[in-house]
Amino acid sequence: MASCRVLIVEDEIADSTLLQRAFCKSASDVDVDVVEDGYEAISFLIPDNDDIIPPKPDFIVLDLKLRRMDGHEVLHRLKTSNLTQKIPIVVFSSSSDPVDIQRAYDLGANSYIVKPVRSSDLTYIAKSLHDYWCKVNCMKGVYNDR
Amino acid sequence: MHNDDFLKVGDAADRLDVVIETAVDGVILIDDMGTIQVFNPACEKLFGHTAEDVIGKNVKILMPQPYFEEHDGYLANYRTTGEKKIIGIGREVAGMRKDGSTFPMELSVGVANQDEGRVFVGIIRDITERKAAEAALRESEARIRAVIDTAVDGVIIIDGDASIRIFNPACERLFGYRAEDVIGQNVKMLMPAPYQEEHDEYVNNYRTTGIKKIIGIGREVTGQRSDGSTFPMELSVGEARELGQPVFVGIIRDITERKAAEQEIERNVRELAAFSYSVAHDLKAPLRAIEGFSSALAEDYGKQLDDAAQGYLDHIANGVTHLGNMIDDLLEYSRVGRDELPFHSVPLKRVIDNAINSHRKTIEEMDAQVTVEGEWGKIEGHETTLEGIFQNLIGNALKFSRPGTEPVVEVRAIDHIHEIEISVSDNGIGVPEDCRDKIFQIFHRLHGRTQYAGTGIGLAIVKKGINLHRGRIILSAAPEGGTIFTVALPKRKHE
Repeated sequence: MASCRVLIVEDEIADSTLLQRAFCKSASDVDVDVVEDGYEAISFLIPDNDDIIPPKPDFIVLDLKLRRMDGHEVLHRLKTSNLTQKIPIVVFSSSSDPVDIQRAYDLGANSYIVKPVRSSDLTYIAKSLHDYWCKVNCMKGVYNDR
Repeated sequence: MHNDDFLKVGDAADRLDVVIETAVDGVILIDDMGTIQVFNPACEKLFGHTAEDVIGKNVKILMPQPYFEEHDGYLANYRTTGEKKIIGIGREVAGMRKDGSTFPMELSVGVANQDEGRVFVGIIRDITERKAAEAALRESEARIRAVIDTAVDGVIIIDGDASIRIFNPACERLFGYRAEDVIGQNVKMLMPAPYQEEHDEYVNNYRTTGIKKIIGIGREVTGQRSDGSTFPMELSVGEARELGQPVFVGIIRDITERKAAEQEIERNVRELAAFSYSVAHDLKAPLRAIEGFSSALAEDYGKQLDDAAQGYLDHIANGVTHLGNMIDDLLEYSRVGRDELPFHSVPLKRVIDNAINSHRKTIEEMDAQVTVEGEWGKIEGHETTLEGIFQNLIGNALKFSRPGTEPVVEVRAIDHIHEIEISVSDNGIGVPEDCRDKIFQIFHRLHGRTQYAGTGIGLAIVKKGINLHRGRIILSAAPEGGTIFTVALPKRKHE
């Protein structure tokens, strides 16, 4: 079992590819799943069938500008569902507007990161996220399945 | 003149003769039948007759109609009733010269007793000039009155107690009052509540200190109509003196339409800003892709690339960095105009202190000297935008310093009652005169990026922020070669 599981919710393939690459470079044992929109994210995490409970990611990286279902809506749904509300959600957005940042935290985001232009910054962010949420942060006993 | 004192013989008579002979005013003596007995040289000049011609004749020959007809009647009345219709008082009548022409004259008549009977002494003054001057004055008054009455702008005159003296027809239309309803009232009746107390203050202040707070400049204020509704108006006030007392002349223009147009412009600016903002925002995504993958290329396949190829990738990286900076600045620039910014009372000293503080590190590194002096009050504004303005100006003052010289930046404020004027001056490299207009344009730079960093958007953001506050900024050269930016910000949003 991988020691670090990440779910990326991002519709821009360039962004998700670069982020995925950054995570893989930062650690050898990272499992990265990528979904392209909110509906996929929800069905990934919340099964139709109650018998099958999928393993929870250590954290979710969520873009706000998504097709079909807006990122804010995804954030809200995940944070109001019993099954997913404890999963740390790191909002990853190109907007540095204080209004957007405030709104994300109002909806329950655990963290907000502005997408960097430079890839060196991206590497640093991926490593920091991995190190913090997978090594430093403690989630033992929060879910019955781990 | 007493009845019994007239005609004392001797020196007195000689002296009197001298008076009569040399008087500038005409002196004429008639008996109670109207016969002319004395006709002094001044009369000769006035009427064109010689004394010889008229002495012995009836005085009415010197009068045009209707006086010619009436005079005999007056004398007869006096003889019979003793009623003096014209004695003592000065009257304006008309005199007739020898050539038949008439002229206005002021006549005062006294009565005396001579041995031979009653005599009447007339003192005559030619008031042609005075009449002409009076007519000219009336004409000029009528002209001015016409200007006031027909002016499209409201003209209102108040005295030192703020009582309305003149309220022209345009004012009647603007405010919905008739002139007779407002004359004598305190002018503050034309203002909505908060301004009323203020106006009393202004008036008192002026009475006690002589300091005029509103004279001269045009201001945007609010007027209140008779129905209670308010409207935006532009008011300019001048001072004049009337009989040594101060009066104040207000010219009023209804700027409702202008304000509506301004708001329309503001809306357009906001829309444009929102548009620019979203475009700039969207540009970042492909930029990330370009940068990300060219870096990935260099990292993952670098060993397979020769130096030239590596060089290409470096160029791509530089281009991306620069493009990224421009987009960030464009975002900041359009953010300034995008939202209807809420205005609050902002203490300017705090804004300046924060702006200087943001450059703390640079100031230390450059060993720069930044001084702050003057009168720092409060203005109605948006604190973050204001901070951005001064952060930019102070940053520039530090950045564009002369190599080898420690930057000296002076920030000074002057309180001009309705606005505060802030100057930021430096001892840096200065701005050539022909570039002074252009430097406020977006992305306009005077130097290459290697000499001085930056995309050239700072001053464009500054100008935008100042426009939002209805302020002004001008650039001038400091005496020793540096630059002075002078910013004027109105204290109130609507003035």
